[in-house]
Amino acid sequence: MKHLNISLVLAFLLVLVSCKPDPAVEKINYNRTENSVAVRLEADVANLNPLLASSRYESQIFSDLYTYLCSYDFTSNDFVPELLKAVPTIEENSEAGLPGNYTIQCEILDEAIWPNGSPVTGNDLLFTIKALMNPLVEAARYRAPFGSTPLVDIIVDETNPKVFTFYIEDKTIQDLEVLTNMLPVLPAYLLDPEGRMENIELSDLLDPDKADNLAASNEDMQAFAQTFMDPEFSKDIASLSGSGPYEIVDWVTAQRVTLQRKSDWWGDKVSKETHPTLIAYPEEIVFIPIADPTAALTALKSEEIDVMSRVDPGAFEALKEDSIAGQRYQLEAVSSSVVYMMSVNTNVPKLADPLVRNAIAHAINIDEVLESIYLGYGERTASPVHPTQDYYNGDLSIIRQNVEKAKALLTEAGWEDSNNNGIVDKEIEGELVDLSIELIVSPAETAKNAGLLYQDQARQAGINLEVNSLDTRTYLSRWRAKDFEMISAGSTITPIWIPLQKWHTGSGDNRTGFGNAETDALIDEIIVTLDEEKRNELYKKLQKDIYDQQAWIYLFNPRTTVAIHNRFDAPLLRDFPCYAARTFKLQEDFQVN
Amino acid sequence: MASYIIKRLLLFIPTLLVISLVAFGLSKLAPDDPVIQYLVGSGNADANESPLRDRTYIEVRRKLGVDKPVFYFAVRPKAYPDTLYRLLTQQEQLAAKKWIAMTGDWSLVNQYQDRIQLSYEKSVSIPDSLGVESLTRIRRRLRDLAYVTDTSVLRKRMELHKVEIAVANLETAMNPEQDLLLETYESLMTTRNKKALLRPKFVWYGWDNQYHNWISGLLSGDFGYSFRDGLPVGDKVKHALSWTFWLNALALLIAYGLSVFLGVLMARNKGKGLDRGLSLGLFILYSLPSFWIATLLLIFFGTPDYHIQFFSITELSRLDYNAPFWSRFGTVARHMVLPVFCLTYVPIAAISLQMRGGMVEALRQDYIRTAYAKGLPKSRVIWKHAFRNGLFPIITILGALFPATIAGSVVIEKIFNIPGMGRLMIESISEKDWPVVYIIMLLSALLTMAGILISDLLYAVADPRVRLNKKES
Repeated sequence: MKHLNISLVLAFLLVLVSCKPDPAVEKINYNRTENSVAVRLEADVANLNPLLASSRYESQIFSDLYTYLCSYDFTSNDFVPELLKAVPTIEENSEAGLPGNYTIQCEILDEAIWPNGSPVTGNDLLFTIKALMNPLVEAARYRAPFGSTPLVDIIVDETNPKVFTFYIEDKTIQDLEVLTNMLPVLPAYLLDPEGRMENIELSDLLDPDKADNLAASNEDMQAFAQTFMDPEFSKDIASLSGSGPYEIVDWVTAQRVTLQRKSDWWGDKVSKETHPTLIAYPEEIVFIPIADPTAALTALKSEEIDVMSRVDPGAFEALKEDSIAGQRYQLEAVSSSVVYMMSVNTNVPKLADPLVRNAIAHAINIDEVLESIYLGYGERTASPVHPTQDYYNGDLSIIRQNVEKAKALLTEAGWEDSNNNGIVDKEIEGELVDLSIELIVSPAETAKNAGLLYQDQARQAGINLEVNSLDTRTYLSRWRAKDFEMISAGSTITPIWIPLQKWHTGSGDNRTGFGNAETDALIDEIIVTLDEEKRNELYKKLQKDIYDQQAWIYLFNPRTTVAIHNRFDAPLLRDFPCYAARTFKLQEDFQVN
Repeated sequence: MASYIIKRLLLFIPTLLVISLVAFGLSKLAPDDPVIQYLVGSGNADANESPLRDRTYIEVRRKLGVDKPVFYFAVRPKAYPDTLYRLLTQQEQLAAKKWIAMTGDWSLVNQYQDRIQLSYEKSVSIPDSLGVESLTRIRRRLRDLAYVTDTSVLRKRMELHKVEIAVANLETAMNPEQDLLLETYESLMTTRNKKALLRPKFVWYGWDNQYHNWISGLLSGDFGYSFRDGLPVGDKVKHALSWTFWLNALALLIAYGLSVFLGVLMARNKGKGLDRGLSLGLFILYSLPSFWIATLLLIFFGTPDYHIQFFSITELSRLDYNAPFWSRFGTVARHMVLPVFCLTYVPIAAISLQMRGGMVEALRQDYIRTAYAKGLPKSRVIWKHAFRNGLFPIITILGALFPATIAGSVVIEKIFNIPGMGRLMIESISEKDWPVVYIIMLLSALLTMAGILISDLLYAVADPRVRLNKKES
C-alpha cells in the first residue's frame, strides 16, 4: 500500500510534466482582443515629470502625455512638425534692436489646447525653458545641451501668443533639433499656477553666473523649484497632464501606470499628412513593470502583456518555436539605433599608440561573439554612424580577426614577448610592462560572456584582457571618471550626429582622449556646416580618422528583439524600445462596431 | 510580565542605537561618492562634467547633508584640519588625506591644491591660437593632477608637464601661476613633518553633523532620499513593506499551524510508517531550493502550456483598488497561493521536524507516564501535558524566522513579480542604493529583536516555570 502511494504520486508528477498538447491541432483563440496595450517595463517607474524623470522607461510614458514642437516620424524618421504648424527654419535676424544674429520663428497649431481647454502658447514654451534653466531644478542633463546652444532669448508675440521666436547668436547643426525636440512643452498653468517664474527673465537664466546669483537670492525661483521637485508633485496625476493624446488615470507604485486616451484630443483634428506623429490608436495603454525576465516571458506566453522588447536572444529563439507565443505574437528583430563598441583609454601609456589599439581590434573575433552569444542578432559596423544613415562611410572595411596582423602591428609598435610568459611586453618609462589590459564590462550575462570570449581570442596575439564585470553604478562612475583601460559599452545613435562631446579634445565628455588639432578643426567645421552634402563629406572624413585611431573599436549594431501581439498592426522603430504603443492599430478582425 | 516587556522594549533603544551606528558607519565606508551616486541615479552625472566647482554637485551635496561633519566629534592627528569635510568632492578629500598623511602639513597641501586650480584656470584663459594641441593636454593634465597621490606618478607627470610647457613656448603665458605651482610641488615632495602626525587632537563638531541629522530624520520618519530615483526612502519602504508583511505573515501562520499538527502527529506515531514517510517527505521538501520550485510552479501554473493555468503574473499589477473588498481579496489570495506555498514549505519541514523532536522528548518524561497511569485520555495527555513542553524548540525558531522573512522573500518576490521588500532589497543592493539598503538593514535588526522578545514571552506562556523578571529566591 505504502509503495502504491509513492508510485501514484510519482505517476501524477510524471503526467504533469509530460502532458503538452499537440501544437498541430490547437486553434488560436486569442485571450486578448481589446483595444488596450499592455506594455512590459523592465523597471519600476518613479517619476513622470519630464524634466526630472531619468530612465528611458519613464520617457517612454511621458512622451504619450506631452507633445514636442517637432518630432521624428515613427516610420520614415523624417523631422516633422508636431505642435508647430511647420518645421521652422533658421533665418538671419533683420530686426534692429533685437538680440542674436539669427532667428527661428515658430507658430503653434491653432488646434493645440491643454486639458482645461486653454490654448498651448509660446508662453508655455517659455515657461518650460525657464523651469529647465532654473539651476535649482535637478535637470542638469538637459540643461547642459540646452545651455550649449547659442540661444539668447525667446520672445512671444503679444498679439498672437501662438507665435514666438527663438533668437540665437550663431547657427549650428544641432540648434533646431535641441530647441524643438529635446523637451516637450509643459503647461505653465498646471506646473506654476502662481506664476513664480513669470517675472524671471530668460536671458538672465541663460547666463550661468546670473542664474546662480538669482538661485541664491530669488525667493520665487527657490519656491518654484521646491514645489516642482517635490516627489508628491511628480506623482500627482492631475499635475502630470499635458497636450498629448493620453492622460494618466491610474498609477500604483511598482504595479502599473494606466493611460487613457482623451476622448476629444485636439490632435484628431489635425491632418496626419502634415503631422504624422499626432496619432494615437489604442484606447488604453497599461505599463506594467516586470523586472524578472522569466516572469516577463511567462506573462507573454499567457498573453498577459502585448508587447515586450529586448528579449534575450536564446529566449527569443525559443519563443519562435513555442506553440502558443509563436502563433500569437509577431516576433521581430529590429536593427536598432545602437552601436556596441569598446572604448580604449588613450591616456593610458600602454594604449597610447594607435598601432596597439589596431592590434587589439585585429586580435578579437567579433563575428564569433556576434554569432555565438548574440545568435547573429546584429550587423557588423566600423563606425559610430548607423549603416542606414546617408553619411555612413562605406569605404571603411570591417575588421575581421587576423592574429598574424595583430602580432605584426604589436611588433611594429615595439611589443614582443621578451620574458616568454605568453604576453607581449615593452619598456615604458623605465619599466617592463606586459600588455595586460583591464576590460570592464557591464553586469549583463551577454556582456560577461562576450568579454570572456574576447579574452580567449586576444590571448592568441599575446594580449591579456582581464575581464572585470562591474555593477551598473560602479561601471558608470569609472567611465565618468575616465578610470578605465578598456570598457565595453553600447551607445545610442542619434538622427543627427553631433561629434562635439565625445570626440573633441576640448570636451569633458571625451573619455578616451581621442583627437588632435586636426580632428578638432574638422569637428568644429561639421558643427557649423548646414549644407547637408558638404557636411556628409566631413562626417565621412571624421569617421575615417576615428577608424584609423581605433580609440573606439566599433563592434556591431545589435538587433533589438521585440514581441508584439498579433491583433495589432505596429510599425517597428529604430529607437528604444523599437515600438511606440500609441501607434498600435487594432486589426479590423478584432474591432467591435 | 508587563514590567519585563517594558524593560525589554527599553533595551531596544541602546541596541538600535548601536545598530544605527554600525549602519551609518558602513554607509560612510562605502567607496563611492554619495553625490555622484545620486547624480548617476537621477541621470545628471554625465552633465556634471566639472564636479570641482559644479553647482549641481553643490546642491545635491547640500540636499543629502554630506556637506556637514560626519559625527559629533573626531579624534585625529593634529596635522589634519578640522574642516576637511568642507572640501568639495570626496575624491578631493581622499587626495588631501593622503597628502597630509605623507607631509604632515595641511597648509602646504591646501596651497598645492589651490595652485593647481589657479594654473588650470590660467591655462583655460590662454587663447587656443598659442597651440591648441599642447594646451588641451596641459589642461587635461592639470585637471587630473589634484587627485594624483602616488609620488612617482606625480613626479613623471610634472616632468612631462614642464617639458610640454617649454616645448610649446608657453612658459610666459602660464606664469606666474606655473612657477608658484612648481615651487609648492617641490615643497610637497620634500616636507615630511612626522611629529604633527603623531600628536592626537580631539575635535568637537556639535549637533549639526551627518549622523545626528540622519538619526533625527529616522526618528521623525524622514529616512532620506533614494540614490536610484531621488524618491523619499520612507515612501518606497512603506509601499514594499505592506506586501511583504501580508505575504510573510500568511506564510508564517500557515507554516506554524501545519507544522504543529504534523509534528504532533509524527511524534504520536513515532517509528511507525506514517512517521517515517512524513519525515522523509519533509526532508525532501527541506532540500528543494525554493527558487527552483517557484520557477517550476510558475511554468506549470502560470502558462497555458500544461492546461492547468490559474496563476497570472500581472494579476497584482492589474488589481482594482476600487473593486469590492471580497473581489480584491479573491484576486490577491489567488496571486498569493504560489508565493505563499514557496515561502511556507521549507519552514513547514524545519518546524515540523523540530516539533516532532520536542514532542518525542516531552512524551518520554515521567509525568506523561504518570498521566497515562492515572488513566487520562491520550489526546488530553498530549495536548494538555506534553504539548506545552514540546513547543520549546519551535518557539526558539520563531526568533530566527522573523528577520529571515525579508531574506526569504527576495527570490520569491522577484519570480512572482510582487513589489515587496525582498524585491526592493535586491534592486537596491544591485544599484548601490545605500540609503534604502541601510533602512532595510535597520528593519531587519528590529525584526530580529522583536522575534527574540516574542520568543521569550512565548516561553513564559508555554512553561509556567519560566518566570520573567523575577529573581529566584
